Amino acid sequence: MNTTYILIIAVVLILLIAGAALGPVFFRRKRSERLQEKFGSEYDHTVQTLGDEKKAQTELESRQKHVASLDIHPLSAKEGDRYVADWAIVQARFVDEPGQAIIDADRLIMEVMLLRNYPVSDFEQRAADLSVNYPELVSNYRAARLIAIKNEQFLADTEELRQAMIYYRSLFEELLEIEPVAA
Amino acid sequence: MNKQYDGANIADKTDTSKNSTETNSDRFVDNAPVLAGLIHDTPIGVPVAADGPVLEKSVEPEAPINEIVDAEAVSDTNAGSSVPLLNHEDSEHLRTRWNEIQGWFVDEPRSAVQQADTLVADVIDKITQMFANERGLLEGQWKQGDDVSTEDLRQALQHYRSFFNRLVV
Repeated sequence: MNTTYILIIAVVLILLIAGAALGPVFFRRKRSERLQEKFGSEYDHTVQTLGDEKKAQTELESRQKHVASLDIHPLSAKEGDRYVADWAIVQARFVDEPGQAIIDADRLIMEVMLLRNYPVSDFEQRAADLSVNYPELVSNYRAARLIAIKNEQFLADTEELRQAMIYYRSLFEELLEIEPVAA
Repeated sequence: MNKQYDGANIADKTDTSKNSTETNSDRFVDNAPVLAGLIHDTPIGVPVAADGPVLEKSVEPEAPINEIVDAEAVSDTNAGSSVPLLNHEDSEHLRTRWNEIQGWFVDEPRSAVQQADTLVADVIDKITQMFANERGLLEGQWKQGDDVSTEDLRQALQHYRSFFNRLVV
């Protein structure tokens, strides 16, 4: 009987020690999985930019907290309609002035962000905020940005500008959502 | 009747303005009589020399046949040149179509250009068809043999001018 008790206690102790040792590992696994799942390619991008997975995870979590603290709200139906129309004009304008259309498209995105209560600051901050709600589209936003910079130096060709237009639009269309944001 | 007005000669001049060849020349030989006075005596000589349009508005001011080409004709000419080729509905429809195509460029550049090509061809067909109809009517006014009155021919010419002015803006 005594030996049985001792055995049971020993097994329980071993399990506890193993749990204590492996717990954080599991937890970290969970955390990275969760963030990876949520942010997708933005997760990799952040890891690459910061050069450290832990730092990247902290950064992404702080982005989530930051965006949660903002009072992001959808556009009104009227605002939505207006911006749909504005976009159509900018897109048609591309045929005459591709470079200007890109600038206008970027500006429309910023306007909508402002209306929805995103703090509009520098590009990286905007991208970071957008990455929380639109993780799969922020890479498009960044790609468009690169072309927009080339465009400022008159180095972007028409096909690149057209691509930028499509990148911007993918984000713009999502930003126009009328339903409440699923944060 | 025709010969005394040297119709062929006039037809030639008229054709110069239209940049067309023999096909039209026949057509205009017949109604040349009425043109004769107008064309020979009006400042048309200037535009003809420059290979320009013959039956421009300049016809009225100095034409010795002013009493014939009177206010009515002037208004007709003006109406003719200001009336758009296509009616409002058609124009609106075509314009909407064009805007769709232009908006589509960003998504499908090649297809947009193809559609623009088709649209322009459609418009040209439409105009061709329209003028064919209108010309059919016009021909009915004077191509009924020799017993067409000068007044009818005068009016026919005015219609042609309106027609012409819409084509050559």
